[in-house]
Amino acid sequence: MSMLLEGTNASAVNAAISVERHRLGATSTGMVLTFVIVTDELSQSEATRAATFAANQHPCRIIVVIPRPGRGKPQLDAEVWVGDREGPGETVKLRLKGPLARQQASVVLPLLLPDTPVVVWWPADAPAVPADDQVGRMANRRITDASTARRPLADLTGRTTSYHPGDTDLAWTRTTPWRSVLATALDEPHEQIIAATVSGERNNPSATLLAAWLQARLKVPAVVKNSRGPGITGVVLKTKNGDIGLSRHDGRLAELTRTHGLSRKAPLPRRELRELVSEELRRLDADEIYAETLAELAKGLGEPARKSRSAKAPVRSSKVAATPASTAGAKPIAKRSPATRPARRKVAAKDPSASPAQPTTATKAKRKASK
Amino acid sequence: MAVQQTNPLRDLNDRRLPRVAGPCALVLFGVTGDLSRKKLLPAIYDLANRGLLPPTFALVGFARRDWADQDFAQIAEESVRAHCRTPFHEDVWEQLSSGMRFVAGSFDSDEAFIELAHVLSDLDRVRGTNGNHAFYLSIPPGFFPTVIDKLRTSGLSANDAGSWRRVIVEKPFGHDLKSAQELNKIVDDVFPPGSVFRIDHYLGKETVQNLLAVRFANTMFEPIWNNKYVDHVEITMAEDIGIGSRAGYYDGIGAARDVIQNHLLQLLALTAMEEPVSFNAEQIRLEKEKVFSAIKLPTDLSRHTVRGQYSAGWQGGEPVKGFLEEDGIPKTSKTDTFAAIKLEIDSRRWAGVPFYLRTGKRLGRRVTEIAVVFKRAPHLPFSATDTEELGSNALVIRVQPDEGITIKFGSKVPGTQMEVRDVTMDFAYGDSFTESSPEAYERLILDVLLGEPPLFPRHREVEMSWEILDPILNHWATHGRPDTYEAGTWGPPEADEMLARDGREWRRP
Repeated sequence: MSMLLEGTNASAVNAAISVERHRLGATSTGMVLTFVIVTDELSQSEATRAATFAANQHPCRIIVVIPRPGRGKPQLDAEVWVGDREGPGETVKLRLKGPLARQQASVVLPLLLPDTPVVVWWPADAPAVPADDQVGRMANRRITDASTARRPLADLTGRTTSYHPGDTDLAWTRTTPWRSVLATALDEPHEQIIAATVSGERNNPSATLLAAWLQARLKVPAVVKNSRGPGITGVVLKTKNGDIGLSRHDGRLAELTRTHGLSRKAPLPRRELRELVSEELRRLDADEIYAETLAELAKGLGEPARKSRSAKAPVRSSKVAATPASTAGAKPIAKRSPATRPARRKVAAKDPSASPAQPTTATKAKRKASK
Repeated sequence: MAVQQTNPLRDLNDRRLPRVAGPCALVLFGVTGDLSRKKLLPAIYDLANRGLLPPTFALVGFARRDWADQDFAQIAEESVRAHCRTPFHEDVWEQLSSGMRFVAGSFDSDEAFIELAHVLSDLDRVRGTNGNHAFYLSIPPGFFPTVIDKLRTSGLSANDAGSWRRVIVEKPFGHDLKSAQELNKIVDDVFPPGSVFRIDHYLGKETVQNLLAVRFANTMFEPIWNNKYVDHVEITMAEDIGIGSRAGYYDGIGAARDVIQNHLLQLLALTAMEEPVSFNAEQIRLEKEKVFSAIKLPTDLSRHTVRGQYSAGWQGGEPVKGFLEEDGIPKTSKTDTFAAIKLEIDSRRWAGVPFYLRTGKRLGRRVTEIAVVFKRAPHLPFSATDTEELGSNALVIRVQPDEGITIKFGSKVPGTQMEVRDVTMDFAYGDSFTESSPEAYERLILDVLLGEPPLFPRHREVEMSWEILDPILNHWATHGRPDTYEAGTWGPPEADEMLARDGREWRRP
């Protein structure tokens, strides 16, 4: 059963939740986190369904924030579900009208569960710097989704500079099964890999991230090739003596092939939104591998990695930032002009948070301790 | 050819990537048994479905049936569909079943083992299992010597450098110290100790592993985890079912051998052990062995141990037979279906704190729990009537069902009067974390294939636990008959008297 509160405020919403909970006889909470979803009317229903699925495994309070900017008086309308078929937790849908649409934090803050992590998810239209967003600032984990952006690859390139520990993107989550199968393939003896190619649908940010990850880990140039999809369709790891290939053309079953070996099939189904969200809630600490991957992406794909590694400081070409969409091209990009280097460094020094290549908090702490 | 040794795609920090078993083949002896059909095959499918088995994984069934590979795959599919925990996907099944083989033969047939060796080397070639083979003996222990011997003579137990052999055995690990030693010798003669995995499915339960997390990852429990604050510990494993069709196995074995020797003593060790230096197999094993070596039996075994047999009665609203009326049980059977014992641990931490272990069939309900019961507050600044309803504080680890933790403490009853009464605070495991608890067998099978044995008892532990139990079993064998209790109750009245002698009473679990 849902309760509708029109023209209300946060403390009235809290009171309504509490009344509902007592009515159900469930006084204890046992909830492990607050899950804030900032979204629009268009995607709110699908996002709420995915979050509710995740809440079955992760009892949480789901707060759906739907800003509805416009003229007129500020008004807060709320819908509250507790227990029932909506899952074990609580769901609050908040519609922020008029000037209130820009004051999301003021409504969300009083509704956060005490002393438990906060996760915020923007199913679409994520802020440019999630950690600087008024709701993002309250969260331990900030989930964006580059694939829903109007220009997914440009959006992803933006993430390379806006990254803060705790940020993550569902485009990255989508690569997990691929990464797992590839890692398994390399558990077996293999020859040295000299290059990697990822094929994927046009403008697929997951393909780009997978390539950047391979380039960062294998220290060989990786490129993205366009294919007809769906999603990522294949990876080829080139060795001096044949290829290791993983291909998936139907979005379900993948085939692992070796030039001089056996070919095998492995289930690799495309996952639904709810499964992606569940994976995101599993770990709430900073994803260092994602940070590394973004840093690699910022350096440019297809780059002979050794060269950039030998440079003293991580270098990013301003050209990449300027023409981000080109990262998807199969040809090596990011020609570096030495003249741009000092300028970039200066920017990085001014805004340490801007670069994912900066030392992580962990290494910072280590340094402090050694002093 | 330049072959790379380490895998650059793996990183400890990359916690999204699951631990996936390497290429290997699992040979299942006794594949037609209940355990295989209801637990093992579904667990293997669930692992595959969660992407935790490599594409190269192969499964070989071995039994005395006139089956072809397809027949086996079909039977396996039926049991997987009936019992799997995760949804059934054709794609996953297709991939898994393409690596399934069946070898028909009896456990003492040389030809069958030659055929098995042939099938395995064939799988190494066409499936890419790389010579890594695990043998799961889901068979009565009477067959162990035969099967192990055949594995040796057929050369299946020997591995080349770079590949491994592992053998998995199920309880019971013998029926007393002597038989356990013989069994261990048979297995250890053929397989090195690190390759022998003794499955105690209780140790694969999330809650049991959580016991170590609760104890050693928090600050608030460990300071009171000793004889200064703990009054006693009760470890209970109760079943509401009878012996069912297991008369042949159960008669002569009984509750103490079936449950206390392995499950309850392992739970006791995990509850009582000191902090291991690190969370690896060797260190945990060392700490558990220290506990076993410090266990002291009561001097008067007739006063501090109780065994019972259920008589006919009503169980949860249904009439049920008594143990002696069960099919296949002789009327004169002295087998215990209920056992309760008191143990003490001679250490600074636990001196004077009794550990009461009890288990039984046809008890009130199905429950397994560890209850750490605390001493009462040394002084209560309330009047006696205010605290009449107040019991002892307790921390209860619920192993099954409803895995989780309950803390019991006193709280004021709302109202004008000062009245303190027991309340409980629950942490329910199943729903507070994102992965619904995997079935214990999934965890254990994966651990075997990964070669990570932190939760498997080693042969020394098995022998030590028999050393603890043997004197009690001998005492029972020479002193009278088991007491009777009505089915559906919490055991014979003698069990309550046993605690009453110490001024305590059992918690109703």
